[in-house]
Amino acid sequence: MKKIQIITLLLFLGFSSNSQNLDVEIRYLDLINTQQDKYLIKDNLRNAELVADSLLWKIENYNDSVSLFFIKLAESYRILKNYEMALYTINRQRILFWSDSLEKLSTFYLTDTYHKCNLNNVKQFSYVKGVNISIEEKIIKLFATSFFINSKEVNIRVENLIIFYEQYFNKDLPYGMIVCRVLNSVGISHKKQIRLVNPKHFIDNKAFDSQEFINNLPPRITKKVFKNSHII
Amino acid sequence: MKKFAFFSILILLILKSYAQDIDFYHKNQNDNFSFQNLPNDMSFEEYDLLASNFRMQDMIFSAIVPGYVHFKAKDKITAYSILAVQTVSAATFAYQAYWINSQVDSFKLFQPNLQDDLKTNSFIMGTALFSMGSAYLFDVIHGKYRLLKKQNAIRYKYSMKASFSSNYFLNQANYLSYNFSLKFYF
Repeated sequence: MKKIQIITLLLFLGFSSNSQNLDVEIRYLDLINTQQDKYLIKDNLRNAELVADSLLWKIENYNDSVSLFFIKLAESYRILKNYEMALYTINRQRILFWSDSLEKLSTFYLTDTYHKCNLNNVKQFSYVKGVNISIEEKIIKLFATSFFINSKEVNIRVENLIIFYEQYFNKDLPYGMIVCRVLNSVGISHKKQIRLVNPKHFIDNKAFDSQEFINNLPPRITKKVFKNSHII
Repeated sequence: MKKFAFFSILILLILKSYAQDIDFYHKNQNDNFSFQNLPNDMSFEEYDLLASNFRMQDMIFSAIVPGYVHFKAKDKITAYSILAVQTVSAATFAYQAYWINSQVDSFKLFQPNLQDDLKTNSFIMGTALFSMGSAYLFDVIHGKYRLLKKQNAIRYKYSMKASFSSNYFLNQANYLSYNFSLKFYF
C-alpha cells in the first residue's frame, strides 16, 4: 500500500512540474528584474521565450498568471532598452492573453514603450485589446500590430505567426499574412515592406485581391513580383 | 647513487603531473562518461560553458591562437577583435624588422636621415610589441573573467529556478542521498 502511495505521489509531482514551470519563470523574472542586472536578464531571455512560445499553443485556456508572465517579460525587455521586443510582448499580453486585473499596468507599459519605439504612423493600433474576439481574430490582430515594428527579432516572430496560423487553423491566410509572404518570397526587406503596405487593410483584414495589390505597388517591385511569379 | 635515485623519482613525479595537462589538480579518467541530470531547457552552449574550465594550458594556447580564451568563453566579437589586433601588430613588427634588415643589406647605413627613420621604426616596433603583449594579457585575464561570469550566471539561473519549484523529489539538485564509492588513484 505504501509503495502505491509513494508511486502516486511521485507521479503527481511529475505531472505538476509542467504547470509549475510558468510560476517558476514568473518568480525568476521578478527576481532578476528587481536586481536590474542586465547580464542575468539577457541570459534568461532564451528560456523565457521558450515558455512564451509554448504558451501560444495553450491560447484557449489561460489564467492571469500567463498574462502576468508577459508583463514581467516586457519589463525585462524594457530594462535592456529593447523597446521593440517590449512592445511586441505587451501586444502579446493585451491581444492574446488579456487580463482585466492587469489592465492599468499593461496600458502604462504600452503607452510608454510605444512612444520610445517612434511608431507614429500606426497610432490606431496602440490600444488594440483581445477582448470578446475569437482566437483567429486575436492572431490576425497581433500580426497586424506587430508587422509595423521595425526590428529583426520581432520580424522573425511575426513570420513565425504565419506558420502558427496555418498549422493551428488550417485555413487560407488573411490579407496581411499573404502580403507579407508574397513580399518575402520576392526578396523585399522588412523595412521596405512596412513602407509599401497600408496599415488600415491589415487591421481590417481586407479580402486579398492580387490585381489591386499589384496595381498599388511601385513599378520596380511589380517587375520583381512578375519575375518571381513562379515562386509565389 | 641515493641522490640520483632521489632526483630521478622527483623528475618522474614532476613529469607525471605535467604529462596529460599543464595543471596541478586531479582529473578522473571517467569524467567524460558521467551523465548529469540536466535542466530541461538548458542549451548546449550553456552546457559547454559549464563543462569548460580555465586551465594553465589555455595561457599557452592563447599565445599561439590569439583570442583563444575568449573563443572558449563564447565571446566571439571580443575574440575576433583580439585576433585582429594581434595579427596587425605582428605584421607591423615583422615589416619593421624587415625594413631594418633591408637597410643593412643595401648599405644605406650612412644616409643622413637614417637616425630619425630608425627612431620612428623602433617606436613603431615597440608599440606593436606592447599591443601584442597587452592583447595577450587582456585575452587571458578578461577571458577568464568572462568565462567565470557566464558560468556563474548559468548556475545562478538554474539553481534559483530549482529552488523556486517545490518539486524537490524529482529535482536532483535538491535531493539528498547517501553515496558509496571507491576511488583508486595511480
